Amino acid sequence: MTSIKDYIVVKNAIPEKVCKDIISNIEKDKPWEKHWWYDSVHDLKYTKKTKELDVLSITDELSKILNPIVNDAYKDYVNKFNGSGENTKNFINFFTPVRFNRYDVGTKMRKHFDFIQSIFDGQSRFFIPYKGIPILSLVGVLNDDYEGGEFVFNDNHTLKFSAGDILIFPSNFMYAHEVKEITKGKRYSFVSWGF
Amino acid sequence: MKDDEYKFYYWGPYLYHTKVPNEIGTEMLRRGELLKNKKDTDYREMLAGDIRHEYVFSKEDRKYFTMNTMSLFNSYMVGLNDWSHVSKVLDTRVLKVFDLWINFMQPNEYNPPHTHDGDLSFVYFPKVPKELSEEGNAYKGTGSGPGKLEFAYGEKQTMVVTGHSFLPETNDLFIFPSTLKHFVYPYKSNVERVSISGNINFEDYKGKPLPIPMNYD
Repeated sequence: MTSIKDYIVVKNAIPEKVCKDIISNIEKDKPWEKHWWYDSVHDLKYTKKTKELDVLSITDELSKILNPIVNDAYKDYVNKFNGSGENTKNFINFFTPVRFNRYDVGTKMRKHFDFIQSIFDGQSRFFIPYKGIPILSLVGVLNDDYEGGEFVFNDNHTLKFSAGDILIFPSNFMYAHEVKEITKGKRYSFVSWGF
Repeated sequence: MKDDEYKFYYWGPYLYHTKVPNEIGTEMLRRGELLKNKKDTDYREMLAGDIRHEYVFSKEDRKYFTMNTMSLFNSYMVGLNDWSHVSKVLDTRVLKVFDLWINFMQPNEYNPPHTHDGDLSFVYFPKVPKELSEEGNAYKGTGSGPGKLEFAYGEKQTMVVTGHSFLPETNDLFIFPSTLKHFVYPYKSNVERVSISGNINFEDYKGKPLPIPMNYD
């Protein structure tokens, strides 16, 4: 069993008005699609038949608002865990544009970890090809007026968020996580990876 | 006695038969019924069939269908890759349904032999009355029989499989290369059978949002 302690939650990182404005913006006629997984054996992306959430890429307009907030949250994490030596400081150089997640009633995020090398190989066909390895995972929480949808690390470490919180944790296999099924309302969040 | 060892080489088009969840069929039928009363949805001039009620779905309908069935099409691609190692599969990035229509088929209507546009095509049957099973099973002739969906690949040859035919059931989905010739036989039962067809293209991923450099200042 792993020990889940190397994460941070930046409380109220996203102002309430920004959360509401973003939800309003992304609900207006945007090209949401079903969340997909990657089959590395067949080099294909696929969607599970049931309970998949919806995902949406960010626009330039919203990037201008969220990127500084996301940058500062990553910086908080890096500052907390920075090593003392020259080569152990500032251990991420980039982060990916955020992707929005929308969970309707009956949907969830299945347990997984974020060491998704396929995105970061610099030549991915299905994904935006970044070069590097995913080091940090970031989840921004845009609302809390829903039921269910608990964020759980490794089956037994449950986190409770408020709208505006940002969670950051290591992307590696020690930090498997999931979002439980939504039972009431809609859950809006966004994700990004630092590398 | 030791079993003989051999290799078996697959050949021809990859035809995939699966089921679509019932609730998706219910929703597509509801959307299809609405098309009957809309302007500019009559699609007969674009299609091969001798079918009085054929309507094209809207972009929103295509989106609903795509979001709820894409796992099946991805499954087709996995199977195709496993089975044939077609190089085009390896270049695939996004599957896009660019054409989608609905056929409300009545007795004595039919679809003659034809092919489709695009890379992949499909035929989906959200409503097949039980009378068609009874009529199809009662057929005594040497052909495929009433109401059958038939796929044909090349000319008939001895000891070569050049076709498959099916008596569709509710929720059946057939996915196949768009160039595969297929046709639908008429039936006599006084019932309506509803099918939905469409075409899919492989498309490259176009957007490439750049990573954002960290600012530690």
